[in-house]
This record gives sequence, C-alpha cells and structure tokens, in this order.
Amino acid sequence: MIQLALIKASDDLPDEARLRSASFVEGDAGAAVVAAGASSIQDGCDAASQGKHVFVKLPGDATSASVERLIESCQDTGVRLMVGGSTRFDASVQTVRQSLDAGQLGDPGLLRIHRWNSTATGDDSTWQDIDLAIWMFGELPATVYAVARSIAAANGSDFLQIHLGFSAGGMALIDLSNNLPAQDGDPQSYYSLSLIGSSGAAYADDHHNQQLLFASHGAQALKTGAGDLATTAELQEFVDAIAAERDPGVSGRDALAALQVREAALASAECGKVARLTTERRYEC
Amino acid sequence: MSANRNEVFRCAVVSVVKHAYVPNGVASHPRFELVVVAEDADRPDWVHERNQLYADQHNIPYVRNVEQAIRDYNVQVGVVSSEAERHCDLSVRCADAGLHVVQDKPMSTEVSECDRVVEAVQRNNVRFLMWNRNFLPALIHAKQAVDDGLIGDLRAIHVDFYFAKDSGPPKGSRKEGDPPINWLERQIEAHADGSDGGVGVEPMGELKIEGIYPLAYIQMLTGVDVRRVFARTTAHFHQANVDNDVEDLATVTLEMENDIVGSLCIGRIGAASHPDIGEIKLHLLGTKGGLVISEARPEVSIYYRDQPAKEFRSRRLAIDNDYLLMDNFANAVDNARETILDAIASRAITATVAAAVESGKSGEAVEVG
Repeated sequence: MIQLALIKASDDLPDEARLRSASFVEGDAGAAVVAAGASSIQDGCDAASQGKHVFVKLPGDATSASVERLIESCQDTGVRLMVGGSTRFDASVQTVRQSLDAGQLGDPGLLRIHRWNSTATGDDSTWQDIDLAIWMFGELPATVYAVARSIAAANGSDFLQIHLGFSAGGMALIDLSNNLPAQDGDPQSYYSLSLIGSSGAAYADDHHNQQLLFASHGAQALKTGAGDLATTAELQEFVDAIAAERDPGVSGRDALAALQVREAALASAECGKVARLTTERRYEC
Repeated sequence: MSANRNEVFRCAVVSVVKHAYVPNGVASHPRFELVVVAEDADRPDWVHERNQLYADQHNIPYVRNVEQAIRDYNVQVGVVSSEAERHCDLSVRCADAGLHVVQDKPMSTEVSECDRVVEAVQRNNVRFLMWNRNFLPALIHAKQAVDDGLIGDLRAIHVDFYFAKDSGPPKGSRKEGDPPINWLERQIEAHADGSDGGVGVEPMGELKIEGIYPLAYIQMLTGVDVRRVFARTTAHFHQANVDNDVEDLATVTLEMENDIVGSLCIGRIGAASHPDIGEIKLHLLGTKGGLVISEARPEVSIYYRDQPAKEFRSRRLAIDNDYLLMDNFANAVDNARETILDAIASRAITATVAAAVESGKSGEAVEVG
C-alpha cells in the first residue's frame, strides 16, 4: 500500500476508494501529493529532500528553470517525480492514444487542438497541450512558431496560437484562448482534439459531446463530462510507477520539455520568427 | 450590362475536362442557359472526348474554337472549367470578348496569371465569379451570427478542411524500380469518382487544389486579407503526392489585416479517416464569445443493410449553394456590382496559397505578395 501525504488542500483529488494500493494520509508518508499553488515547486523540492516520491501540480507561472530545480531535487534523493494536471489522462485523449498505439491511425501527421476557457489564468494549461503534441509524435518539435493576441483582455494577451513542426513532417496546431464569457458567473470551456494519421483519424470534440437544454433563456449546450476519472487515472499512474520502480508519465522531464517549447512559443510570438531546436536541445529564435 | 431582371444569359462552357459541377451549377439557375461547349482545337484527345460527352449530355453543340463559339452563339457568359493551368488564360480571353466569367477553382497555379484576370475584368468592365462554397447553409448561418454581433468583433478564425478521399495508392506503396506516378495520368484516372480537382500537367498540392474554399470562408467572414503566413506542408498519405513533391496535408498560421489571426488545416486524408466527406469545421473567436460551426449541417443520417462501405452515412440538406451563387452573379451583372468572390479577392487568396506553399518549403514565415 502506497501512502500519499497531501501537501496543501486540493479540491480535485479523486475518491480514495477508487485508488488501487494507495491511501491518503495526514502527516508523514513515503510519497507526497502537492496541489498547485504559488509554493508548489518549493513544496515539491522540500518533499523530495525528505526522500518522498513527489506528485506535484505546477503553478500557472511555472518556468522551465523552476522545473529543472524540482527535477534536480528529486534526482539528488533518487525519488520519483510526476507532474500532475496533465490532459494525457482525459478519457478522450486516452482513447485516441490507444488507437494510435494499436496502429489503427498509422503515422501521426497532424494534431489539432482548440482549447477555450473563460478563466483568465495567464499562462495556465499551455504546457499540457504542448506535452500532448510531444507525446503523440514521440519527439520534441523541430520548429516552433506562435502568435499572441489580446482578444478581450484589457492587458496582456488572452490568445496564443502555437504551430509546431516535427522532423518527419508531422505538425501540430494549438489555439488557446481565455476569453470565453462566463455564463451566469460560471466559467465556460471548450475543447477539441483531432489527430490525423496516415491510415486513420480520431476526433475528440466537445462540439459532438454537447446535450441540448431548452429553457427560458433559449437553447443551451450542456457538456456531458467524464467525471473525475482523469484525476483518478493520473494519481493511479503515480502509485503504479512507484510500485514498479519506473518513471511515471508525465515525468519531470516531460513537463520540462513542454515548458521549454512553451517558452520558445512565447519568444516566437514576441519576435515574429520561427524558433528552432538546436543540437543542444534548446530553442533559438 | 443588363438592366432586364428577366434576361436569360447565354453561356459558353469553355472547357469542361474535370468534374462538371461548375457548369451544372450555372445551369441550375433559370437565368442561365448553356448553349455551347467550346475548346481550343489543339488540345489532347482526352480533353475533346470529355467536352464532347458533356455537350452530348446537354444536347448542345461542341465547337473546337473558343472565339468562334463566342461569336456564333451570341453568349454573354463564359464558364471556365479547364485544367487549372489554363483557367486564367481562358478567363482573360472570355473577358476580352466581353463575357462575364464564372471560373472553377483554383484561380490559377500562378499569381501572375491572376493579375492578368484582374486587369482584363476591370478593363472590360465585366463581372467575375470564382466558384466557392460560401452559400452553404452553415456558412450563411456563420455569416449571420458574425454580422449580428453574437460574438462581438471577430478576432480569430480557424478552419479545419479535411477531405476524406483517397488519391491513388497510399504513400510507401511504390515498389523499387517502379516509375513515379504521373500526375496528369493519376488525375485523368480520378475523373471516375470526381476526385480530379487537380487535373492538369502541373502537380498541385491540396493548398492549391482546395485551399480557396476555406480561405474564401475566412475572407467572407473577416472581410480582410491575409498579410503573413507560416505553413507546414507534407505528403503524408498518397504516393502520387510524394512522387510529384506536392503536399496532401498542410497547416497554415494566418496573420491578417486589423490584427486578426487564424489558421487553416487542410488535407486529402484518405477515405478511411471519416465516415462522410470529411471533417470540415470553423472555430471563430470574438470579443464577446466563440462560435463552433460544422460545415456539414444540417444533415440526416441513413443506415441500411448491405450499405456500401464507401457510401456516406450522413447526407447534407438544403444545399442551395449553386443557385445562390448564380443568383449572386446575376445580381452582380444586373447592377454592376462585385460578386461574392470576385477577381481581386480570388487573386488575394491565390497569393495567400502561394505564400503558404513557399513557407512550407522554406520553413520561414512569408509575407503575402
């Protein structure tokens, strides 16, 4: 049984009863689960220094440098590091990935993601979608081009479009927006993922998964979600990786790669040029 | 210029060597009558065979002299549906003969040819319509939503335009020692199932063959031109595209006037990759909200025992695009207005495509010329 110490309260933990061979504990334990927050990187480093395996959700302003520090802390004590909040464990993404792994889609050619939110969370979930692209194509992108705009934000940008090119001709186009209006005070969201392969394609699309409500305000779309299966699957992966003494998905290195690409995208949007991967595995604009 | 709203325009079908949806679309409107098929005499036999077949099917004469046909049959409109590399030359000749012009896509494989059409149309004061899909029900709906301000000011637009069609043998199927697939021969072969939009000597990728459709959506909904592009292109699906070094899959970042941004994903992705013609969607973001549009809707789904595997399960409804395009064209002629996709806008789209093709090859962002 793997015991998971909770560092800081979190609203999005799965039901403990759904976890295999794991339980939540107060106080000391062999593994730590760190919720997202301003101090989550430092909390993760502290837990690692105490010899605990670390599951950490990154803060919205996480940088590649801060994640490198976290990786080093874990390497120093030989503990496992998993970065939480990934969309790899969404049921739709898992289904697409299973089809890809089964060879049904052939070689991936194009990954297209639209992610629209209401919450102005700044740098929010960009790295997660970049991580999906790296994960689906199995490599870092060779080129990164991005444009940023302010659609509704008074300051800064609330729209980022990231265009990735992979070495064998594959490509990904990700558009991220935080400008959807809230509905009666509640945030709205929309997500669409298409993966086009050489012998098949997969479409995971909120547009397709909406239900219709007819009420006094007119027809509304209601999204039928997948509950908390993703958070359960994610934490279960952490537990299983510890038990099997292997790197978990998403590892610190995975998150680091995605953050480096994100930083390259922001640099590209700033300078208006293509950022390219160097032999030192860094991006230059 | 006609002020008679009831006048029927006599039309010359100036070459109809590929799928005949353009002249058929023209004929769907009661104000347009196909009266002759015309072609240059020095074309290959397969061109004459197709022209003659179309003429016979419509019980109209076939004349192997374009200018003579225009004179002898008193036509007012030229309908150009030749190989792509001949589109502009035939359109210029029609305009110089005083004809209004309806032309199949793409406008041309060369931007310089488009400039000739723009000049000829303006000089001769005739109307020009590039065939397009802007009057599909979903596009009319999208335009209405944008014009009504439902999402505020439009700031970003994305179009996914995947045709789930095969185009000959799959990539990697050519055996060692086999010759590369000849583009024209492949396109002639594709005529049987209507997938010969790229017919011609010059190979064309999907950006050139089909790009005008989604770029016309973007042009109509934003009202602005594209200024810069960054593209990724590849031959991912079909051996013919590999052998002829043209893409069948492309992604394009679009930077437009008025600080509007967008993207285009386009490809001929194989018949197995969608149960119907393909996934075609628009995503629009404005200052007050977002809009997701499926181009296919409205549609009805039909399933039955022993249904052929390649038969589409969903059938589009209320397709009035042909009639509405020609009504728009008639209105333009009657009132000396521009059409929904005129020569200048078509030229701009062709320039965007050319820039995207260049960007895909160079790996750099390219300004649209």
